[in-house]
Amino acid sequence: MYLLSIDIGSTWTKGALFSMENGVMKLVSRDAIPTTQENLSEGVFEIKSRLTSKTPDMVRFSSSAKGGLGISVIGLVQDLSLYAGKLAAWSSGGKLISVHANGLTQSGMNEILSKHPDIILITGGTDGGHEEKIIRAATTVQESRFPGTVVYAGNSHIQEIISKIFKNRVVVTENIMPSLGSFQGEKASDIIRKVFLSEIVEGKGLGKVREILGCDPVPTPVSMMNLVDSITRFNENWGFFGAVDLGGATTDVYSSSTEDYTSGIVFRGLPEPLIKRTVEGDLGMRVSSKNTIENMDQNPETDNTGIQNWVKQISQDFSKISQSKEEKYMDRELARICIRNSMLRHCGEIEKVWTTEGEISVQKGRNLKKLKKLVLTGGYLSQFSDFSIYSSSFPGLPLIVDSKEKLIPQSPDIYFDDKYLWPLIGNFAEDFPEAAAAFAVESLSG
Amino acid sequence: MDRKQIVLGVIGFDCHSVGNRILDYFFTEKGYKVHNLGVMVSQEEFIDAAQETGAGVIMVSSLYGHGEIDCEGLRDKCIERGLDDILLYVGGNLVVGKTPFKSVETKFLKMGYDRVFSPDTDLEVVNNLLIEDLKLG
Ligand code: B12
Repeated sequence: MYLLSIDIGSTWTKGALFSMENGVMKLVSRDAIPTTQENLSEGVFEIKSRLTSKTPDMVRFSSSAKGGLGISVIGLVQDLSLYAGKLAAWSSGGKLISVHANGLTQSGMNEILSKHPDIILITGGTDGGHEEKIIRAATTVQESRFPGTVVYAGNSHIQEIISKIFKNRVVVTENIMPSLGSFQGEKASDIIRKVFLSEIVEGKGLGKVREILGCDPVPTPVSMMNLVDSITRFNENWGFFGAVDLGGATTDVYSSSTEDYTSGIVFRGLPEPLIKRTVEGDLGMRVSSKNTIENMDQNPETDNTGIQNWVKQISQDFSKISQSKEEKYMDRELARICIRNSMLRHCGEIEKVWTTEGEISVQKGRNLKKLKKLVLTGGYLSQFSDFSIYSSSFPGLPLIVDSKEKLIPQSPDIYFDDKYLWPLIGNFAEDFPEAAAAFAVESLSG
Repeated sequence: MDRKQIVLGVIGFDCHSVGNRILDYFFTEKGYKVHNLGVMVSQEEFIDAAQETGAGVIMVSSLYGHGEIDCEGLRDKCIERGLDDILLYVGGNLVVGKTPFKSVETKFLKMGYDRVFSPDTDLEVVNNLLIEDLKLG
């Protein structure tokens, strides 16, 4: 049986033909071409015909082109409903366009309108909890004539009021934080994925692709989530691992971890999901490279003109590949900035506090210090398999910032998706979870 | 919004958990929705919880003798965060040593707490006061 998988990225359109015999998945061929921004289906057609002239038995495709799935999140408390909203947006394959705590101000609404998210996710309030600011936020959104889709996943006791405000032009789902400190994002994530299919696919120029390939698209990150999930379930020794997908427009970090809180540690905030995904829209190798260098360590001593010039060049040509030694050096610098900052934002931190009992540790977010395995993927990372890139992104561990220790992986074994297959294998992770998981791990170098 | 909700916790770095569990049990039995934050709760966590839940009252316990320092400023922070009319109840061994309860009460009322309770308070009395204060009766 032959499986065709295609992933339309912001920069490259990639495809692979897999064979599937007796529950074993293998690679037949793989190819990539620059994404045809004007007309996505052109590139898809080209890739498809390069990979096979026959009709494959199954076809799946994913896309993160045209900004992926952009979501603005409105919540109440920063560390509670707003954080729950962010987790739900990330898990649904989205990218955060803006976040708004404590309801929504008019200037917040203007920011949303200027940044054109596909979806606004409104959260806030436990069931039977806060109402006023959420209702006001909903009213502000309604009055703004926001053209995208609004998803409501806050206090369930005011669902009817919210529906009325939007004259039913709102997708209402279960509260993602029904009681204090709980996170139940699955329903909301499912709904967002459905909205992606019904409302957004056409606008992103994916309708034509759907026709050519005869199947629905998923956002690329959803494929990756499915793959990470399958690997966690089916591969021995891969219950606690992470992956960094460094792309042209975003840097995505995935981790699967069931954490036991060590005694003597006080945990604050929401419990973390088993599989966590974070996305950084200001960290990327090409489309977002201008924002990426704004995250550089600000050291007045260093001369940054080299990297600034390089960013100018690649911003004009997203598919430019570094050739010379200097260009390669610049790309490595960009990659290090992305890895460092995305990892820091994905992981939690521990703060030591002095009490009558002596010193205690207060932890917020996820602890990945002991993470054993880290997979690096994405166009750049796959191409260069530079095994020191992670450790060189974090010189001098443990890392302590403002007297808080950052809980990033300290010395993980590094694996490279050097054939750049993970998003493509991920497209089949729902159909063949066990085979996809086995093949994904086998395909790594490390 | 349901006012018959309580945000409960032991403030500061206090880890006396027995009284906290009794309060949780007692008020749950009385039909309140209790959001128990447990021990070692910061002022910010009390306020975050009250904001999301829309609870009518925050019940603060302090047993280990640092109550005065830990409880100071909670009212101001509530106002700053838009919780203008939330009730603040506080109880336990609020100060070190044998200060007469009257002067302890005066001190905490001045800090902006609505009701102050000694460790030997009858919880039925607390419940009656709460019904009155939340205008549930
Ligand atoms: C058990 C205990 C401990 C245990 C706690 C175990 C645990 N997981 O809870 C351990 C050994 C860990 C401990 C440690 C300490 N303890 Co101790 N501990 C006690 C003890 C003996 C009993 C507490 C108890 O459980 N009481 C039973 C419960 C049901 O009563 P309660 O806690 O008072 O709560 C009731 C009321 O106060 C009231 N209430 C409480 N809060 C509120 C709030 C509202 C709004 C309302 C309406 C009512 C209300 O209702 C509750 C239910 O009925 C008391 C002495 C005593 N007899 O009270 C000392 C005591 C509280 N501890 C004390 C001290 C000093 C300490 C330590 C600082 C000792 C040290 N130097 O290490 C540490 C502090 C640790 C910390 N960071 O918190 C002092 C506090 C002195 C003060 N406030 O002036 C006490 C009073 C002993 C004493 N006489 O010196 N302790």
